[in-house]
Amino acid sequence: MPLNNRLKEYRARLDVNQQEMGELVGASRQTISQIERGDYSPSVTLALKIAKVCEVTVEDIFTYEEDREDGRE
Amino acid sequence: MAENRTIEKKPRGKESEKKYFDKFIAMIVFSLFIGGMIGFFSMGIRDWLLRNVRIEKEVEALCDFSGWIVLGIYAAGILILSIITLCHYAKARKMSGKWDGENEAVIDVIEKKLDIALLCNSLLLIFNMLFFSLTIYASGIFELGEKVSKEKYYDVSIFPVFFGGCFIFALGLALNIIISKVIVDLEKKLNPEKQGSVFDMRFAKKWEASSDEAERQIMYKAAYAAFQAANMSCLVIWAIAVVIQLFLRTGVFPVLCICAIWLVLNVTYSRTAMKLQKYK
Repeated sequence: MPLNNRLKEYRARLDVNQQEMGELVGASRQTISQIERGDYSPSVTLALKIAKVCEVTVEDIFTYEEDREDGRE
Repeated sequence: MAENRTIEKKPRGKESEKKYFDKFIAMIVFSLFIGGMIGFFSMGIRDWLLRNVRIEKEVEALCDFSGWIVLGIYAAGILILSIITLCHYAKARKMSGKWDGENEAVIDVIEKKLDIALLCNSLLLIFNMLFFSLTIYASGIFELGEKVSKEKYYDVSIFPVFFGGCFIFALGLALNIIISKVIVDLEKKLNPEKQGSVFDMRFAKKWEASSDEAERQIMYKAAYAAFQAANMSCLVIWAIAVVIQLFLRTGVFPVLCICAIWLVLNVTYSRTAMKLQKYK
């Protein structure tokens, strides 16, 4: 997956479960679970909300890696 | 440097477009040929069958029991589908009681069981609708007036099969509503943000409104897959209906029904897409 994340790690720091994390950012438990597994790339709004709740920047949680096939470096 | 980067433009791919176009034309020609052959031979096959195949006695014997046979299949189908649905729901409910709110493996199994229960419940509804019509038809209630006036006789099984069919239909619907309610209640318990009551006519809208972006994406992707499947089904069923029309003289009603569904499907899709694209 090109979008990696450390949401599980930051959620553990906040000491909340997926349901509570979902409530904090206005999303469902399934969505938090899907993001953590890398099955879903959140919208910019949700990513910003998550970053705000975790008190870090979006880039601290989400990192984008270009696919090797697509990379033009 | 980013400013100096040039964006490579990929070739338009006219060759591949031509390849697809050729395949498309070949498929149309092949379909027309097959359709034409079926249409041409169907008339001959029908006449040959009418002249050479004598199965009236067997058909008559089967027809004598068809009402009871259909009623039996109807009852068995409703029973089996209800049991499968309730088993999945019961397992999900049992597991949900033990879920600690954290273990992902457990909640994944619960959600999967509930999804299967929902699918089985939909199958139960469709099966109920289909077999209610089949049972009423097989009961012979439509020919009752004609039989009594012409033959001064009617089959005593007509009323038991007819009312049996009505009873199973009502039972199936009740089961359907109860199962939907308990599944939705469990979903709401697992996901407290979810809203809507199955008894509310605006349930689907409220459920969608209480879903977040990831859940909506799943809904929309599933809906698009369903749209594509329905489009293809309409095409296939239309072709079958046209062939059967030639064999059995079923009239234009089946084709009209299929085209009506097809029309609603595509007009709704296009209208919604245009609205979302904000065309004036």
